[in-house]
Amino acid sequence: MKKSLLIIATIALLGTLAAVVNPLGTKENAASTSKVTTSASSSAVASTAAASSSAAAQYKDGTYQGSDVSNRYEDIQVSVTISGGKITAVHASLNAQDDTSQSIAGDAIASLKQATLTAQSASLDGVSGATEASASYIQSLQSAIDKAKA
Amino acid sequence: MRQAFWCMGMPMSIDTPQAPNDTALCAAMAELRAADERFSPFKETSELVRFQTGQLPQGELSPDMRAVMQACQDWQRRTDGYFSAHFAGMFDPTGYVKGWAIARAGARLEALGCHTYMINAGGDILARSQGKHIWRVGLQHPTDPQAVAGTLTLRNGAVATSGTYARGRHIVNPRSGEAATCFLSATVVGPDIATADALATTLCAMGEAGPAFVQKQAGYQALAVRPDLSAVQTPGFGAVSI
Repeated sequence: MKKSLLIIATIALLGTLAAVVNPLGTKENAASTSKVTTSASSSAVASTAAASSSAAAQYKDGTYQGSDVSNRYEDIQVSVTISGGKITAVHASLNAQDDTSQSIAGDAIASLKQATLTAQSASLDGVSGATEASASYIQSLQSAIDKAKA
Repeated sequence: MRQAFWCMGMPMSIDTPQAPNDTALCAAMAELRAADERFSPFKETSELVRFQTGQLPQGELSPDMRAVMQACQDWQRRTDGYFSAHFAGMFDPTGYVKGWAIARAGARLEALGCHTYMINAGGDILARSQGKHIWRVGLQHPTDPQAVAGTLTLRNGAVATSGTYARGRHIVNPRSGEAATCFLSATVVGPDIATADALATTLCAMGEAGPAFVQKQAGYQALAVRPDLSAVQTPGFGAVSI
């Protein structure tokens, strides 16, 4: 199988638009580069919720408690509030095993809550991000969403 | 077309430009679910947990489990111990299995005639394009969950991101036992997803020496972001051609 990897990256860290590097200069790559934007908002977690939101009409309004999910460091329980068929609030409670874990998890959970709430379709096919460690959050969130569908 | 599903406790999706070949799609999803059943550290009935708890002797391990175990040992050697599949004294290949399973799912799609697709498993991505289709991949911003820090377009390749941002001390330097704090996140691109995934984790654990290590692997490039949001990238990250 042909194993060609053609990547053109536009890296904009901290909102600084970096130059587009395209030494390959093929026509189709040049064309795609011009379409690349850095304005899309998404996250790996958000894309999940966006995927789930295609079934948003099935959600019944109310507040649903997810199951209590444990990982190596803490127990997480997520609840979601559905209003007008959409997720309008996410609450995560956690029981960390030590203070360090508590403060780290607190920050991480805040990010995840934000990502869930801002879930939206983006102009990207996907987002690469580190989500594996948030599996407990996602598992609990999913069980809450499943209840909202029932 | 996107098929989204949950597996290994995380969101996964398979995208195809046209309506998908159902047989191929189902086979790919089955591959990922089978990996979850076998390697889940959370399911009491998984082969991994039965092995960890001594219910299953080493001699009775499945060929898949043995292959993953061997691959993890190879990675441990190759990275001088910065990649390790041991957690709290137990064999736990969670950090390797996702990439391995994505590669297998991709192989199933191709064997069944689907040659243009993108698999995204919890932020690790394998893209293939037989024609002109180009896949656009965002890189999650390490501190702003609403933003992407950059975008990549690729036809054939893999993108894996490891980070300490998703939940605090996610990556531990196996050599010191301490949390890896040098980088908030590391993204590795290259031809193979299992390799990219293992390299991203290794880079985070290695710290400052990580990007140079990735650069030594033929075909792989990296971008790593420090806690002050300054970034380090290997010279070829902007454009990789294999």
